Amino acid sequence: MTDQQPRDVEDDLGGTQTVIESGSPQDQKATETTVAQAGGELRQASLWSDAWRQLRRSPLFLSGAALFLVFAVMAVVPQLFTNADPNVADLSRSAEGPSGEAWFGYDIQGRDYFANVVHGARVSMAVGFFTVLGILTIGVVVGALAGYYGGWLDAVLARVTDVFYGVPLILGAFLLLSTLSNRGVPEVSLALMVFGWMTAMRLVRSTVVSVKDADYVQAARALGASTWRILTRHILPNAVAPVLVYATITVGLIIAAEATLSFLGIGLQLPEVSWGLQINSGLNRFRDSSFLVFFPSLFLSLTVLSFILMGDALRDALDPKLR
Amino acid sequence: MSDSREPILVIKDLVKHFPLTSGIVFRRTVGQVQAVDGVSLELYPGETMGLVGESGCGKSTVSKLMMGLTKPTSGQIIFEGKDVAGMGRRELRRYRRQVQIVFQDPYASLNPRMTVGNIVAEAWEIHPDVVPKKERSRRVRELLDLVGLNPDYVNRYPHQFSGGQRQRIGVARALALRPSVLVCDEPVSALDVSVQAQVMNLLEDLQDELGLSYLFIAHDLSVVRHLSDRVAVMYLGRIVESGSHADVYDRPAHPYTQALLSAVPVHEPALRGAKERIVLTGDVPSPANPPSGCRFRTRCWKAQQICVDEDPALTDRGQGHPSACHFAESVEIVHVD
Amino acid sequence: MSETLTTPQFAGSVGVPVLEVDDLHVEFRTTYGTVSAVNGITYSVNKGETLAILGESGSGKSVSVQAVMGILDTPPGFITSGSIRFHGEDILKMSSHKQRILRGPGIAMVFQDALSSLNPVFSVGHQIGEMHRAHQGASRREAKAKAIELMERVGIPAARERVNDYPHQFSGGMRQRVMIAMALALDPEILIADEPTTALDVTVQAQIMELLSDLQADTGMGLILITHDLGVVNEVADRVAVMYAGKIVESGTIDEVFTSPTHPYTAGLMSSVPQAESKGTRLNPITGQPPNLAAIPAGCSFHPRCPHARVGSAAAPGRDCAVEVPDLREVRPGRKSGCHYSEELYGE
Repeated sequence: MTDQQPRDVEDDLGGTQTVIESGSPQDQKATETTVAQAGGELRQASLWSDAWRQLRRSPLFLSGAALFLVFAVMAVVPQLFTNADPNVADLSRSAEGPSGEAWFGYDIQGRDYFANVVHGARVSMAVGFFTVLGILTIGVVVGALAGYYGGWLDAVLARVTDVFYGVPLILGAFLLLSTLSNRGVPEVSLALMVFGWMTAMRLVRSTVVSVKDADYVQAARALGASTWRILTRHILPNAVAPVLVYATITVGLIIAAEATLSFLGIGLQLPEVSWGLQINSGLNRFRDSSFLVFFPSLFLSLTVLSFILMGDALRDALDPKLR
Repeated sequence: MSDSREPILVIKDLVKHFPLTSGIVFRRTVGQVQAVDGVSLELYPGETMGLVGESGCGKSTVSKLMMGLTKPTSGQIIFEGKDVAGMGRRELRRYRRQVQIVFQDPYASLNPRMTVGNIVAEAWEIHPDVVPKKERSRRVRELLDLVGLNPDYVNRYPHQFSGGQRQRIGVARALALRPSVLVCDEPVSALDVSVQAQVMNLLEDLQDELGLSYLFIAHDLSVVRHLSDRVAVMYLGRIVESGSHADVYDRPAHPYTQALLSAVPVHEPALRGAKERIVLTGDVPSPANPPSGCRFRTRCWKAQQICVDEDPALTDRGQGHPSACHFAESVEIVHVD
Repeated sequence: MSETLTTPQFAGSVGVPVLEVDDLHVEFRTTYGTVSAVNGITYSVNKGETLAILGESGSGKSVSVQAVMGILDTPPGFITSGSIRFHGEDILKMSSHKQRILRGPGIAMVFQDALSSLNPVFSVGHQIGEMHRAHQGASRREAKAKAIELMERVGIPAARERVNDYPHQFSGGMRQRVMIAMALALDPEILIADEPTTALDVTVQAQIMELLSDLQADTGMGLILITHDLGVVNEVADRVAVMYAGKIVESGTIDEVFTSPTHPYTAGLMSSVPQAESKGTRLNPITGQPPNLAAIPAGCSFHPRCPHARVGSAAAPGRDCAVEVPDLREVRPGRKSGCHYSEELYGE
């Protein structure tokens, strides 16, 4: 048995190397099944590579990703979607409804609403994306520190979190932004980040606490693994799933919070365009021109939906038990 | 037989007290849990030392101390002439290559989000010089084969395996660094009877093949009896009796060992009722507040005033092996014919 | 021994069975498919006798008594056929109200994990006395007095002082005694003990097993002991039913089953256990893993692990282990085996 083993292994190596590199998903799938049937798979699978292989085959993820891609392109190069200049106003067409010429109609100032909504993607996406990225970073770092080291550090960080929890997101961001004279995307994102990280921190902290004394963490320690390795290989992968789901939902919440701040006059300032600003200014005319609310809301919802679809698929892909 | 050789690992007067604290930010120590209180052991190359005791006796703390997962309050763990507590980073890494552990719970001891291949190979990412990168996937397969698993399972996840198979994965992980000592902390107690025997056979085969020394920690006396060359019995943080397999099982001198042996249900109908049944009264006292003198005296039918006043030392009291009882006498509990 | 005529399958047992389980089937319907946990088991328990149901994890031994107690999680668990007769009356055909009245005075149960089976926010006295308040309308004071009496009966020291303590203030062995006191509160005729000592240390296990035998001698109740521990079975049971993959594969008196098994699974279990004389030798365990209950092998469910399985041309006509499902049949007086080749392998 042991005599022939090495030779078998060499043979397999040659075969599987090409499998990993092979191009289209269809090819991949076909070869995979044959290799699996042969039982000689040598590719060193890992959580992330397996998750990626699964995601590429998940219709849920693919539709979410496609939707996300549309809005991402819209945010980066809005010109691809519309030729109209969002800033050209023709007051005579104020709040004119959708037509073949202007699909989404015109806003109160008489600007092409489709162009406006398309151009709004950049700001809303940027605020949502960067804020959540910041929330995740703070949440994971602070939560991991508090959960892993425990003791007085945990006690202090927990109290700090409680203090931040005491301040409602909008109120805190409002107060912080009111001290700033220049309020662009970075400032608004920062303000929302500062008062929005606590739930992510608690989620990470509680998983870290429940996992850090697990036998497999002890086993890694007994092997001489560093704290960094234990955190990144053993503890955080188990904390990722709940946080990712939370993050996808939070993108939507943050975009809505940006809208609220803008509505209160303390968020983004004109001439910025964002879905939040559009929804809120549209609310004044909701009764007679509901399309002013409908179109930016539709785009907002589809963006949030894309994140939720991707997050859901990612959570499943990262749980080997569901494969 | 063991006297002629040098022990590979020596534990000397090992003590571990956990502080009992109250308060979160302003902590006060309100007491000490005396989990391990003066344990000495020697482990010889190629032998199996059994450490038996009931829950809360401190046997698992001994395994954690041996793995350097917690620091002893006092006492020494000496490996190749050096105290583990005094080891630097580099020496500790070397120690870890030599001494590895197999855990009790096959469900909790494997990371659910790692493949079997990655679990076994992780040791080499931490100690890259043990197996060169190119060789690793082959070595993983060899290890899986060695512990009786299909090598083609490298890319599966732990939940796809049964309890016994998972325990084999845990053994493969522990063997990755080619250790000379394996601490087995209740390795079969979570398994079904038939699977338990499979894993016990595996451990014996590996010992024959690789010359491993085992510290075999368990509460199941029949399992320890089957595997061990020498046995130490723990009660409430101390060793109350130790000796060769035959000393402890056939001629137990300490009342606790006698009670423990008599409580094990026998499997043959013919032996039922054949052994004297000693049913102990009461429960094990709290290790935070152990009795004075002999720790077993609160449940012992032989206890006298001297047991309250004087702590009996673990020495040979005329039975040919050490026991810690003022009134030690050998009694045959289980008739073996 | 003259009773053998009336109840031929249980030599030595007396009288009419109190509890009879007949051809019970239980399955779990999950989103991943149907899991057949219990596949037609038949047994009965007489007054004053101890029946052990021996099996490894996943053998369906716990599910079978959960069905008897009416504590099966439904859904996903369903009793698909069979009957459970208590004094000849089918429990499964009773109204749920009548079933509730039956439990307590009729059949009571002790669980493995006493800590999670006791409510942490009520004192043990309250929980023991509650049975009296619920079933017999006792007053608070009467219930408490009865609780103290029961705690003394199960050997809890200083019962009067401890009656107001909470479950976490008791040790594992004492908690198991509290559970037994609760089960005994209404003098049940049948006590089902599901792995009552598995979570306990061996010295405490001995105490609890002794308590159960003493109580049984006092009250004459029938005891069903669910366990995986062959030693415990040998020490306390009168008869044993060995379960594998949701079926009883062998039954009989302890002495007979343990000294001369008539099914390869029982024989394999016996040789898996380390004995005093096995030191230094290899154990001879059953190979392979217990089956997945969602995909039980065709034919005899044990055949993939069986060293004596006869398949295809090697099999006798109608007795192909991979095709034909063996019935549990009487192989000698009082002995039943579910192996096609029991007689060939183990004699008449």
